[in-house]
Amino acid sequence: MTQGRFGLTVGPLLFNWPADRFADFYARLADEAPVDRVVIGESVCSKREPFREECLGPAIERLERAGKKVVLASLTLVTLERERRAARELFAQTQREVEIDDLTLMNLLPQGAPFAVGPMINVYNEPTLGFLARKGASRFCLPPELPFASVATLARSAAEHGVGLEIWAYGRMPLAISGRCYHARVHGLSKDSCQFVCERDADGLAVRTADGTEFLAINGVQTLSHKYANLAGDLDRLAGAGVTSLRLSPHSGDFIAIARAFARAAAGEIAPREALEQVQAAAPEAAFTNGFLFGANGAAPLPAACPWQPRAKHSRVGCNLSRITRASTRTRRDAWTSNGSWPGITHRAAWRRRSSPASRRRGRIPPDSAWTISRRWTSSISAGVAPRRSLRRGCCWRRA
Amino acid sequence: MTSPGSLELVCPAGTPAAFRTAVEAGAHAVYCGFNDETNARNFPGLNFSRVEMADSIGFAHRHGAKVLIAVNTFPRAGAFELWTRAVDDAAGMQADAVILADLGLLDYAATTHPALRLHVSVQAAAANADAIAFYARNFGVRRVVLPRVLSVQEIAAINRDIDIETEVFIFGGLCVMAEGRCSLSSYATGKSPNMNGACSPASHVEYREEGGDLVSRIGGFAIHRVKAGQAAPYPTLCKGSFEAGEYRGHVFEDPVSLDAASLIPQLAAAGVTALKIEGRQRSRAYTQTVVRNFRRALDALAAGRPIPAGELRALTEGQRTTSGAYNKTWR
Repeated sequence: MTQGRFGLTVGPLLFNWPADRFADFYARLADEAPVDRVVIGESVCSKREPFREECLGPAIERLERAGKKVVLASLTLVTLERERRAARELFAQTQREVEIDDLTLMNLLPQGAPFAVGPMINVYNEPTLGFLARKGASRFCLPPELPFASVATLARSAAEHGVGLEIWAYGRMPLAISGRCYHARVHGLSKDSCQFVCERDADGLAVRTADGTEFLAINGVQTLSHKYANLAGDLDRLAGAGVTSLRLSPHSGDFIAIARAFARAAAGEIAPREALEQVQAAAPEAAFTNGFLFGANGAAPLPAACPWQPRAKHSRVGCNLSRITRASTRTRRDAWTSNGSWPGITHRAAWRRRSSPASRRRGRIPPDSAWTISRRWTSSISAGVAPRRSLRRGCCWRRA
Repeated sequence: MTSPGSLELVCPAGTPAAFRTAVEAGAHAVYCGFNDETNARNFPGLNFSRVEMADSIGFAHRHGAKVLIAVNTFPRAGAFELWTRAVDDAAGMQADAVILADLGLLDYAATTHPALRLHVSVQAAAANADAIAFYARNFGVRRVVLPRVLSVQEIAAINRDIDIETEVFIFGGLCVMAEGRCSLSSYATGKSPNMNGACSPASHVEYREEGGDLVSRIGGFAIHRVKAGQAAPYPTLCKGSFEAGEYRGHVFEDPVSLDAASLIPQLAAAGVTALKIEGRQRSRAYTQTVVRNFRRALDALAAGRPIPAGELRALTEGQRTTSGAYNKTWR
């Protein structure tokens, strides 16, 4: 059921949802979501596992009946004796593929057992990928912090080893794991007596800076990005780089609609912009980024929100001010985020400042900068190398 | 593993001068790195050129101290040679060990330099006996630096289960997250410990007065807000003051540093081989004081005398400290 250029994987649910919600989510996923693989099981906190036991089996069964490939998730940070025991039992209990998210499991892996490498394993270069592939890894979901140039290099390496390469395409990104439970801490509790307060926040608890800016989200011992990765607008260049699969990480809200939008975009049935619009409509509260791959940092706003993006098919990005203004007016009128906010406003303002006639006279950017940036950007990508970092910030996402 | 009498003191050096200071102050071993992105303290003006490293190793060996070279970032895809060259040079310079985190690099070092002693960096976050056994079995590593997520009891249990040495942090900066598995810094600034050897880099820090307050930001995110005139702490991302639900304050960790000096006897009893002091970025004076005091404490322990508590306490006077995850309640 590969969706055109990509396989679609649903990652393990990171949050502590109550049992009925968990069961409903996977039942709908089985029946309605156009995805190939589902990684299921607890990867964040072993204290949640007892609550999952009852509904995990039926969920796996239902997914498999619906023709999905089920892969078992494993813990990201294994420290306790009972966690080691559980890791050992994981292999004993199943013939299914296991996704390892901690190298602990490499010591427990039975000879020849199938395994996939999860995003919390540090695969940053070809020799590391090769080492794990020789040990039997069949697929790699890369760490979310990798830049596009690394992804492209690793995708070539994965192809040489005949293994799949997946990237974190949707959802809040795991940024850190700790021995300490932050949910417990902010509720005045400790990890050992946590009262499972993480259950209250279906998508993690927002962490704001002192001036109210949304920054991170805490999920028990895990820290996530506030922004959701969203690569729905970047599938052409990802396919060009050799990425074979996209990971969608479960969130509350209409996750089936998200999966459908990615499936359509992956199959080339809808244009990137439309895919982004559909994803935003299904998750109206979410702020998106593709910054780790294409921006100056992991929180960089989605360049797809560039207001000067003309709607018609085109081969280059507009570079004169009148065109920028026209396009921005149109975008605002379209109100393409359903909650009425327009994520591109800061970006647009910054662009205007930087491309004002005065700044051009000062020689800060040449008059054809937008075109130059986009041309250099695409030629770098087709050459499989990273565009210079200085180019990334101003670069504009464009329709292929 | 070792008898409580033989704890090794592993000390940081960011410059050749600090290196000599550490050796003269009584370090059993000094750890340091080359001046590029191959080590996890890649700060401007810090670390060693090839010539400085070779000279320093000679100096240490003449004084009976060991040198451990950290090549503990994760090599960039397409640029692996920069990291293998660091390992090759360390081996060529007769370093006593290299401290590595990346699987590919460990594989390279084990294959290419079978005689070179390998230590697993804290950046590899090998947090249990199985993970450690994996490194030992595949690469023949001789020591693992344990991540700062473990309690003393857990460390003791690990040492019962493995047959290589363990090294633990005893003093200095404290990572709240499992090391090598944190990308908070690249999320906010684009620079990460794993890829660039830099966490919360000064290049992205900004202090600004706003409405009578002094606000420190990193990557544009406000981390601390204090009354103007007060000292604002450096905006390390995980030590910032944030809001989460009803909670206002240090969501992850207070701006504290690690001081587990009082736990030295327990750590020794737990089978730890070496105690590590953090702070390759610190001054010579700091290095000298800390190293000298810890060496005295270890000598006292080895001779069966009580550890002179006052001396170690003086090191952190006026600062807030924690014994971190070594006490289970920290979690």
